[in-house]
Amino acid sequence: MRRTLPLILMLMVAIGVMAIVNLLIGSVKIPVADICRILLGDDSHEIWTNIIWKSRLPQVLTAIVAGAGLAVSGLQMQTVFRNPLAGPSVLGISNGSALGVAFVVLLSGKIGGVALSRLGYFGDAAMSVAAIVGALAVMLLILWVAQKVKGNVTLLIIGVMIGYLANAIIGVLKFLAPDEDVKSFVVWGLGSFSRVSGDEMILFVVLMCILLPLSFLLVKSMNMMLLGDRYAANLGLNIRRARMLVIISSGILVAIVTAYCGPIMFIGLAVPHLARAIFRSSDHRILMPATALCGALLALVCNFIARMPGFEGALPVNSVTALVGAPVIASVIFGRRKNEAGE
Amino acid sequence: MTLLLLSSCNQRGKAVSSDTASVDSLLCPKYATGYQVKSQDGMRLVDVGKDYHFALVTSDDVMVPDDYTKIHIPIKSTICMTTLQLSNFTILDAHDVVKGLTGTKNLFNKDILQRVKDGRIVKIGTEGNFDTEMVLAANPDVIFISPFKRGGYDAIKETGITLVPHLGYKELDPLGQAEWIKFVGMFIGKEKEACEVFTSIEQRYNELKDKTLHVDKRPTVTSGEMHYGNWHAVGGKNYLAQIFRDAGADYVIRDEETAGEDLEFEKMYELAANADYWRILNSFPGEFSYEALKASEPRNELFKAFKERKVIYCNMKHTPYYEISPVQPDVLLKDFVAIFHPELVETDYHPTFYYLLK
Repeated sequence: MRRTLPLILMLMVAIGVMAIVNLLIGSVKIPVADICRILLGDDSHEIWTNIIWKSRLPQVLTAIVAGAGLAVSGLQMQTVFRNPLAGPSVLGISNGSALGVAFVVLLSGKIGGVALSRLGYFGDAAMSVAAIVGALAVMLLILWVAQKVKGNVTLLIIGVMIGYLANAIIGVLKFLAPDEDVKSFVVWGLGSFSRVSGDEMILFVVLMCILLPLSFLLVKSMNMMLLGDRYAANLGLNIRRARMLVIISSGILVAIVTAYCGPIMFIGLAVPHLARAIFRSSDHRILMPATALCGALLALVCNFIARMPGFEGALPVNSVTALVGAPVIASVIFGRRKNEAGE
Repeated sequence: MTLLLLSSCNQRGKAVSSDTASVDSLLCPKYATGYQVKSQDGMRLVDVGKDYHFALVTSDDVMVPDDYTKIHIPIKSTICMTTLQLSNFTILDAHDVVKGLTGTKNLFNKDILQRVKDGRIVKIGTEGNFDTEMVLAANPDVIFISPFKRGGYDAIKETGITLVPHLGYKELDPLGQAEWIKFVGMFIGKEKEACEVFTSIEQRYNELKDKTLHVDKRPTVTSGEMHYGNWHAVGGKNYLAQIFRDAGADYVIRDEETAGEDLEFEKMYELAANADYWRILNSFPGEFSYEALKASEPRNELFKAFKERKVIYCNMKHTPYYEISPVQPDVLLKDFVAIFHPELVETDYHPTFYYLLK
């Protein structure tokens, strides 16, 4: 516990630094002095002002809240299922959003005629709606199943099956769709923190700022869940209710992030492990904020790398999260295992 | 000697009648870079790219050089893989040679749709997922393929059907792309018509282009839209950039090297924020508008061309763009000239593809 506070502070500082780095560096070269002036309210250079306020800043904020949201969601899933391989995609929730988007992008104009295809064109806003609808539909299905089945493993398997089912339908839609629509869908699937802008970005950040603290209310139940169902029940925890609440919280977080940024795969699975390794704790009172901060930081680092001069636009965030994140996290966890063995 | 020179681009042919000779010389591509033609020993040798060589013969007992695949012309049947190819057949009035298409989505041509409906043209499915049985049933003499990235051709090749690459889509010059009409013309025995059609396109294009050489002010123009976080920008070498130049405007990306790349919003915004015009081509269901453009990406309103209502637009849902524009570069050019320099075209000009979005 003694090292927790300094670590948290360090993480916050690191996030601040990375946020500034993200603001300073992009595919357009803007001198640091000008960026400072723009941030202080100078708008004499219209193009640069717009780039900072309407492109870079939204991207930084989006990366922070999306990274935090995905990481927390992953931690919740890993705790509920007591499975280190669980992540936001494991219950088919992100597949659900993908299915929603696939319906809009790939089927536009084929069923429902004008209404649907109009939606398809309205671009990102319609994607968001479709993704949320898809994710929540799958989540409701999972919740319904969760009430019927007792074991976590059964639920997990059913979740994975729903994911496969969604993927199969997406496969058929892709097969039937024209090339350019398939390309659009593939691009959506690569994930990006730069899609959200304007009012949508504000809505997204506000939503996440409400939902993330709300999810922290579940830390006590999550700590009890770690003890196993029987102990938790003895301690007075309504297992079924707690499980539902955590799944709802996790599902909504993933649904919203996926809606705005596309499916970003790696952060949700890996960051909880990173947080556990750094903080050497399994207490969710520490882990939840720690995971959220690590998620935000990793997202910022990845966003920065994806936009580094020379790479701009060429590297999709989804690839960077895994390419950069996997070795870092593997080495952290490996280091911890070695320490534990040595101790 | 004059006849000899005329008879082929490579000056290797035998002296033939002057009529054939002039067609032969006309057949040599002036703008297209994807194919070469030479006449020799009563046959035409066509090289497509570096790897494909065809000898077009009219009689089967002709000996063709090694490395050349013998094709008996005129071919009676073929399958088109792209609308660009189809446009070549449409302008040569040769739909009866087309026996198969990949699909009919977004096709406008009534004659083609009727032929598909009554079974004279079959749909063979998309590249990589051909319905091989349908291909075989159509029994084409050759299949024009492009861009043949996804395979599925081996099975067809084994049945003995000749595959001929049609690289029109790679041409960076608008006239070069249209010049593939001659390529198709050679295969279907309409080389004379093809040369005439192309020459008149070329004439109209160059006449208009010459008028724009001395305009006082060349407006700047940007192109494309933001899609899921990226802006696919055509490069300065792309054929669209060439049309802009020929229409008396300057494309915002001057890079001569790239044919296209994905750019981040901020990069594109820096390049295009103050462009006078903004060209957009999409398939918008219903009437496209500035509101729709803003709804698809809120930052679109930051561009000068948006603020000043100078978006040049073509809706592929209402206009057979890919189906016919490859063989009408002169019309495309005129649409743009009418917008950039209206004084250079007649006052009652009605655009075919692109118009200024109100």
